[in-house]
Amino acid sequence: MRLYGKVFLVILLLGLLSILVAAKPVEVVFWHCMSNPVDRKSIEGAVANFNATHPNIHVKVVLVPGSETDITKLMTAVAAGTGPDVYYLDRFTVAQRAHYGVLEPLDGYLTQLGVDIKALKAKFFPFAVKEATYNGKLYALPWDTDARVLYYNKKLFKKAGLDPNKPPRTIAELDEYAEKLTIKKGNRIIQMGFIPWRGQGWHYTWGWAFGGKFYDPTLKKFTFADDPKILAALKWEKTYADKYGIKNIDAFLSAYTAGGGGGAAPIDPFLIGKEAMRIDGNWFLSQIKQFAPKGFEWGMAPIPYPPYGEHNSTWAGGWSLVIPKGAKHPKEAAEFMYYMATKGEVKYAIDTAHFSALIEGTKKVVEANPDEKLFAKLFPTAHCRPVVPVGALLWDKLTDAWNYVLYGKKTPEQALRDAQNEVQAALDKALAEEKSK
Amino acid sequence: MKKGWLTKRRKDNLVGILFALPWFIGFAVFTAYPIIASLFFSFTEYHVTLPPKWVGLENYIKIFKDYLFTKSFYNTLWYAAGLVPIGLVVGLVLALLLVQPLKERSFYRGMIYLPSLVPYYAFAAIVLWFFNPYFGIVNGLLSYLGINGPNWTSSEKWIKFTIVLAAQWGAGTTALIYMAAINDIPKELYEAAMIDGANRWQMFWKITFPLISPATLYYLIIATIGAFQIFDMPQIMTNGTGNPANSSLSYVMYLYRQAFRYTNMGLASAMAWILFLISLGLVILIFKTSARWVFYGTER
Amino acid sequence: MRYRSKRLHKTLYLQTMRALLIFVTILYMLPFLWMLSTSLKADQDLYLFPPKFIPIPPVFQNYKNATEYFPFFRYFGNSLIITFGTVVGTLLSCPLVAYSFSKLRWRGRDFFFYIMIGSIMLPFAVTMIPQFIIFKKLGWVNTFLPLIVPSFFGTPLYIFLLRQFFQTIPDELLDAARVDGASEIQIYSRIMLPLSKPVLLLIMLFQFLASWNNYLGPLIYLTDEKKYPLSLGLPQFLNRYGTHWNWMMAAGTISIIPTLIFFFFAQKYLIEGIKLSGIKG
Repeated sequence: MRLYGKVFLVILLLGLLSILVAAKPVEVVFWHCMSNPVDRKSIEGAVANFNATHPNIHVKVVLVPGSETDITKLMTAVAAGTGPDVYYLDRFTVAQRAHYGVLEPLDGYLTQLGVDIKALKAKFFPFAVKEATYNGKLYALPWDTDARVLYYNKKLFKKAGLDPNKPPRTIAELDEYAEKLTIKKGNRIIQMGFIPWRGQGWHYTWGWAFGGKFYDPTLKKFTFADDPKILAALKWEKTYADKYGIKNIDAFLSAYTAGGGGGAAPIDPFLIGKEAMRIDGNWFLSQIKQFAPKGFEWGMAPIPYPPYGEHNSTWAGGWSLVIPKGAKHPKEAAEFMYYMATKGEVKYAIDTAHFSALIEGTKKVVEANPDEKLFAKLFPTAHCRPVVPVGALLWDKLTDAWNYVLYGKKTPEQALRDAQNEVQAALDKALAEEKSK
Repeated sequence: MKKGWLTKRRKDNLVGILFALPWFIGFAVFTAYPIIASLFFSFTEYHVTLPPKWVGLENYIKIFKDYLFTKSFYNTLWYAAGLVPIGLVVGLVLALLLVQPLKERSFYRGMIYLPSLVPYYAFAAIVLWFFNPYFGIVNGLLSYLGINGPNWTSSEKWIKFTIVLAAQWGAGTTALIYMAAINDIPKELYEAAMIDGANRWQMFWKITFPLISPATLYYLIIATIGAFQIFDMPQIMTNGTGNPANSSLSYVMYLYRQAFRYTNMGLASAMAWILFLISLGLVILIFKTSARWVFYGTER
Repeated sequence: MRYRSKRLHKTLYLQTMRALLIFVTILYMLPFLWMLSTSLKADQDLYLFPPKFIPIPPVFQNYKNATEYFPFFRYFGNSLIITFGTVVGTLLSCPLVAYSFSKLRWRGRDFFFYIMIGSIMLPFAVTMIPQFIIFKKLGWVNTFLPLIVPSFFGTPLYIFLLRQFFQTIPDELLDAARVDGASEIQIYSRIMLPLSKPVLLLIMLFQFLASWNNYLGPLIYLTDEKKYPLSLGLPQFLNRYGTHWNWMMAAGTISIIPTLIFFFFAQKYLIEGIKLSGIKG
């Protein structure tokens, strides 16, 4: 009888254990690289909300430090099958990563959850959906977004006799103001009016402001070397290199930014009143608030454009949530992502003063932060970078082409042509591989 | 003692291999496969997350047509030609200073090693500050001497030299190795030379330099291999761009970009093997000539 | 008379050396001083022009903020564990292998030595993924093991360095011991190791620093923030939306303290050379 008792007890225990195991929530691992404490806390807050409302899923957040190196960790882990369930990816690389099989398409999982994909897409800005889609499939859910505008220093405007409430609207005005706002002592630039390629004044910024087109998605051909407007943009930038001297500009920039820009700059010429105008992103707002001296007066304006160019042009980037290949719990991951993209995102945008890719979220950000009104106005027509599997290469080759021209190593025509040939060859190769698969 | 199969020679071989066993095991388990795998990948089209596809020599041919390959290779040669000899002289001079019988020398030693401890991220920012063309200490000192300092970090001509110069703050490591080598030299040799009336210069060349040659050989090999793989400093200083106009882009920076930014792991592997062959050639060259100038004391 | 002038000459020489050393020392202290000064600056002084070298008043709050930016002391502890492990591993394995490569004669010795040197000529970027797969198969991902265990199997860099130093120890010394019937392991532990104290400390120091600052290894192998070392903490200060350089430099300053302590402990022994003179006779 004692034996039966023992057996019974064991069976009972096993039964209880299996119930416990079954009830244990599924763990979804989420990697992101937003190490800024504000962003980080906001993400963790949203995850905590999700965990509290979804007892069957537990999301574990892991911060992966480094903005360029985190992709190294992702690729290594995915190659070995130890990747996370959800990953926070730069949206403009979605097409490339999807093409090379790093990402899982989301449509199936979302449909399983009963999500109307068409309705979901309509909630986001068009550029964000465009970037998140590759070959007709949805590979990412957009998260935050950003845009570029002209920032200018009102005090310096006043000093130069310009109206601080009338920022330049056209390229001609911009050139004129830039000249008035530049102070030189011999070859040394003491105060810089404007440098087109500074900050977020990328190839895309000016290419689009001048009304150019970089890529034809129906023919799958790059068009920037054949577009006279892009050529005009590049030639216009070159006039600054010639007029002020590329070496003097470089000296100025390396003096006042101490190198690479981005995260590596301990000082900022705009904030100390040495740079009167600059194209930069909405995140620059939080930098101004954090580091600008007292009494700093600044304004924002849409990017100036030539008569044939695009009024109110800007382009948007930002981040997105994806499921890497080999994720252990893709279905639960999709549920989490859906929650984050539709519910967590708005609060995140307000907390961090980033913008939400959700149309509805933008309104709330502006309510909370009226400074950002201009961006909200620009988003509906914002461009996004071409959705191609060679996006990173395209970016780098365009940057190189611009450098060749600014440093006088190639003619604008030649530089654009060389870059286009190289990127087109890479694209053709990538597309051919896909066909042969 | 029974001899049997264990002859003296066999025993020597066995003992030798037993002592080296940790390395043999480590090499077989952790190192050999990745090396062979990368050689294999260099002949494939490999995007990491898709299975590799054999393409023969295509990567090797393609890479030689790539302008940035040539450019980054040239930059790396430049770095190596600067880093290896300058690092040798600076390290040796520091070591010679630091072995002087001064009471407070342990303080100097600590301070000279200090920059080697500063984390790279902080160090890169500090370098950018010091070489700031308008406000940096370096140009400040130069202007005292009436020299108009260059744009150290933003000029295509100077950036590589700036990185080579900044790297000398890390010379403490070489200095420590040389210090250890110099301290091993028997003092009697100097005493004998002094009696013979040799001056310090002669003593350095006749005694010190030959007797620290094993350390010099070590330095040359390791510094050459290291210089060909230079990555951290230019990568962090330029945010990975290799600015201005790719003039600071090192070979491994470009390789890294190919491997992870463009996920052309096959191409990156081919680049790695080209680098391997070049490093190997140089190292063999150094080893071959070393018989003539490296002096292990024991061979007397 | 001659004796006095010689002594005078020596003093003069030493004072010149001292002056030179002071100059060089100042030059070498600059990066650290800059780090220290930045670590004590107020936020708005970071953007001051021209920059101030001496922060007045010093903002010690930066240190508090830096240590609260991420779980600083947990990371610090993890760094200590990993570093301690690799230093022990290096010390146990490298001299053993170096002894074999320098003082023992066996077939294929030089061949394998060159293989070992060759194995460090490939950039990590291309061997990283296959190596990761090995550690995954061993089930070691997200543990300290991939970061520590390889050091128990010898690091080519240090084996080579030790070999160079071992080779300068006269063979006669070892042969004499062999004639007296000492086994190789006895010779190794009773003659080689005691004679090589300075260079052993050197490799310990180098390994300490390498491990302390290793970034890519922990980045790819650790997937739990609780296990992160300090080297994964510092890059967290770098931020697209404005970097708190003062906090980062504060964290950097604290992070070098252990290596500095280790250095001052070790350097006492670095002064002593191998006491060969007495033995050589």
